[in-house]
Amino acid sequence: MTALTLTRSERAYQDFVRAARGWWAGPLYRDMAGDDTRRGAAAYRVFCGLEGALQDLKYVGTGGLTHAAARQRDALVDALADVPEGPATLRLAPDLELPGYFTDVSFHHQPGGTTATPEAGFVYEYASGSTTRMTDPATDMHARFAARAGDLVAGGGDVLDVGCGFGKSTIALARALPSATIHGVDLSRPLLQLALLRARESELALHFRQGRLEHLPYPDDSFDLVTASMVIHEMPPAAMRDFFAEAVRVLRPGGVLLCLDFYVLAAHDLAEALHRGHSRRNEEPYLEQLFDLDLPAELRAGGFVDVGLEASAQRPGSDEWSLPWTFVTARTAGGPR
Amino acid sequence: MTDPSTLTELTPDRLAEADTTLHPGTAAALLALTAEVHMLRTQLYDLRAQVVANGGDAGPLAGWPEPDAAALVRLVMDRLVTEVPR
Repeated sequence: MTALTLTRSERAYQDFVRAARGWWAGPLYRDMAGDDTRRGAAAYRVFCGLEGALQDLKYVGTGGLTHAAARQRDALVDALADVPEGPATLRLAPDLELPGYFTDVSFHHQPGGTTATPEAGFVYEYASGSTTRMTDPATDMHARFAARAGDLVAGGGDVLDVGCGFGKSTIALARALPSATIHGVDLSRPLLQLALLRARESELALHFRQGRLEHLPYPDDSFDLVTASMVIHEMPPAAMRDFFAEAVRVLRPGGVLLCLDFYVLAAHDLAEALHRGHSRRNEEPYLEQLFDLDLPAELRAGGFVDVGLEASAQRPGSDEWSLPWTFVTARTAGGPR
Repeated sequence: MTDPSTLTELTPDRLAEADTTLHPGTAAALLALTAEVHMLRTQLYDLRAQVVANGGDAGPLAGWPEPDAAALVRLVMDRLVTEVPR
C-alpha cells in the first residue's frame, strides 16, 4: 500500500506530537476541569495556546508531514496515476468550480488544505489518525458510523457518502453494508484519487465522483441512504441548507440521511467554551455557526421528517476532552421505511 | 566536532528548568523545542545502537533507554501549568 512514509526521525517527531496531544486532552484538560481554580485558569491558557500549535507542529514542524510529503511527491503522484485494476470507479469533473467557502479559507492548519498539491490527500490521511484519534481501533468512529448506517438500511440499498474524502468512511460503509451499492462524492480531486486507490487496493466496488454537495451530480430518487461524516461543519449555513435540499431530492421517499458531526446538545460552560474556541483555534471556520443553528429545525425546513439527534462519546467512559460528536438522522417523507 | 556525549546533558529536566517564568504565549515555542529534543535524542539513541551493534563502546551512552515521548511530554509540559504567571 502506497502511503506517506516517515523517516525514523519524523516518526519520533510525530510520536511526540501525538503524545503531547494526549497530554493536552487528558491531564491538562483534567487540570482545567478540576477544583483548583488557580491551576485551572493556568491550564486553560496553556490549553488554548497549544491547540493550534499542535496542529502546526504536525504539519510544518521540523518533522512535519508536509515536508515528508514534498520529499515523496513523485512516488505519491505516480501511485495515484497508476492505480491497480479493480471494480472501483472515479469520475472527475475537470470544469468544476470549487466554492469560495472551501478555497478561500484554511482548514485544520493543513497548508493549502486538501487541494493545493496532488499529494495532499496522503497528508490528510496520515493526519486524520493523529488529531482526533477517531481512527483508534478501539473507538473507530467510522466503523461505528457505518454500523449505524447498516442498521438504518438493513445492510443493503443504494448509498451515497457525501464529503467522502479519501474514502475512510466510504470503505467502512462498504464493509458494514456488503450488499449495498455505494457511491461517494467530494470536492477534492487529490482526496478522491486517494479514495480510488484505497478502494482498488481493497477490491471494493465503490463509485466516486467529484462534485458539490449543493448540486449533487445524481438524478432524483437515486438513494436509500445519504451519509455525511464530518461534513456539515465544513459548510457555511447557506451551503448546508442547499445540501439538505439536494439530499431530499436524491433520496427516495422514506430515505434516510445520516450525519455524524459536531453539535452541542448539552454541555457545561467550560466544555461549551472549548468547543466554540476549537472552531477558531483549529481553523474550523463554520463550526461555531453550526453550533448556533437549530439543526433539527433546519432539517425539517429542508423537507425532512423524523429528525433525531444522539450524542456519541468519542471514547466511551473516557474523561479526556473531546468534541461533541453527535449522530443526526432524518427521513424523507413517504415510503415504506 | 562536538563530542556526542555532551548531548546527554540536554536532559528533559534541564530543559524544563530552563525557564520557570513561562508566559503561555511561549508554550508553543517550548513545545516545538521539546519535539526537536525528542527527535534528536532518538537519533542519538539510534547512533548508540549502531555503535554497539558494530562492537563499539557506547561510553557514557551505554544503557541509555529508548527515548519515551510521553514521558518527556509529561516532564516538560506539566510544569507549564504550575509556572505560568497569574
